[in-house]
Amino acid sequence: MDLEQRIDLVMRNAEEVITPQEIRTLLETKTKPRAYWGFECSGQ
Amino acid sequence: MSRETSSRSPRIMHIGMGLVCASKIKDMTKAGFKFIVFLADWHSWINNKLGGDMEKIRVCGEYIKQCFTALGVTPDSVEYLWASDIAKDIEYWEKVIRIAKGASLQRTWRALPIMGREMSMIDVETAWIYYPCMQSADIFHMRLDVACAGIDQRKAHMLARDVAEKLGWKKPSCVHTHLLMGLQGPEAVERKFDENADLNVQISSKMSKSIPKSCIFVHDTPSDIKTKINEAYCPPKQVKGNPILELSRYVVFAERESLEIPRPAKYGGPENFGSYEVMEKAYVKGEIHPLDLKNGVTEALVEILKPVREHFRRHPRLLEKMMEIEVTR
Repeated sequence: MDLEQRIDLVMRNAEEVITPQEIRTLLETKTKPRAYWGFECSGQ
Repeated sequence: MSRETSSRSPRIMHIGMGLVCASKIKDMTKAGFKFIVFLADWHSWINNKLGGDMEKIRVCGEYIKQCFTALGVTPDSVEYLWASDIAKDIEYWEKVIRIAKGASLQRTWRALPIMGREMSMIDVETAWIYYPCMQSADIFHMRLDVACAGIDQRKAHMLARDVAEKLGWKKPSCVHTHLLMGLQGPEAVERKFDENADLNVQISSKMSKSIPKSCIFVHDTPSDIKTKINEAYCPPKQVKGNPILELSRYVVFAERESLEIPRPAKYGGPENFGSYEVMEKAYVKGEIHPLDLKNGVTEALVEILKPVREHFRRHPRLLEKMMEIEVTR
C-alpha cells in the first residue's frame, strides 16, 4: 500500500486530525508507528 | 441464554462505540499501525462506572474485547491492554505526577471527561483530577505516536500535547472521530460541553444508551433495528442533522464498499451506490426517498452486526454476566 493510501485510511471519516502533516511525516519515517484507543469499561 | 434474558435485547454497547471505533481501528491497522485497544479499568473506577466495582468493570472489559473481536478487531491484529497492566509500573505513576506538576489545576479541570455534567466543586470527587493526568500518562507510557478517540475527548489530548511540549516528551498526534447522532435527530443544546458551537450540538445529540430508542445496540435483533430505523428522524433531501445519512456514511460505507438502496421499480428500481458522496448527492436531489434509504441502511446494518449476534450465540457466558450486572445497576 502506498503512502497516500495509508494517509487516506487514517484520515477518512475523521472529524479532526492533529495534524495531517504530523501523520504524513510519521508514516514516511516510521515503519510501525504506535496508536491506541482507550475505552472505559461501561459499554457507553 | 435463558428465555428471561433473551426477551429483551441487551443495552450495553451501541454502534457509535462498537462500529465507528472498530472501523477506525481497522483503518489504522491496515495503514500499518501497531494498535493498542486500551481497556481503561482504573479510569472506569474513577468515573464510578458499574458502581465503581472493579470486578464488574473487568467483566465489562472482557465483554468489550469480545464485541470488538466479533467486529473484526481481532487479538492477532491489535494488542488488548488493561490500564491495570501499566498501573503496576511505578514509572507510570511518576509520569502521572510529572504531568500533574506540569499543568495548572484549571487546565486539568477543563480536560475532565465529565464536562457534560453540571459540575460544582462540592460534587466532584478529588479522584477526578487524576483522570486527565492518567489519560496523558497512558499515551506517554505506551510510547504512542497517535491517540484516537471520539471528538469529545479532544481536550484531554490537547492537554497531553501541551504537557509534552513543556516536559520535552514526544507530542502525540490525534485522530478524533465523529460522534454518531441519536436516531431522534439533533437535540437543542441545553448544556455547554465545549466552546465550539457545532461541537456542542454534536455532543448534545450523540447516541446515548440512556435513551434506548435513540440508540442501536450491537445486540439488537434484525427486527429491533428495523423498528428503530423506521421510527428515526430522516428529513428528505437534507444532509445536516440527518441521523440515517450519518449511519450510512460513518457505519455502512466505513465497513462496506457499497450500499444497495432497494427502491421500488416505479421510482427507478434498486440502485447500488459505490460511494457515500454519490449517494448523498442522489438523496439531496430527491432521487432517494427517506423510506428507501432507511430500508437500505437497515439491511446493511443487520448484515454488519450479524457476526456479533453469532459470536454471542456461540459464547453466551460473558453476555449473560454483563446482563446480570446491568439488571442490578
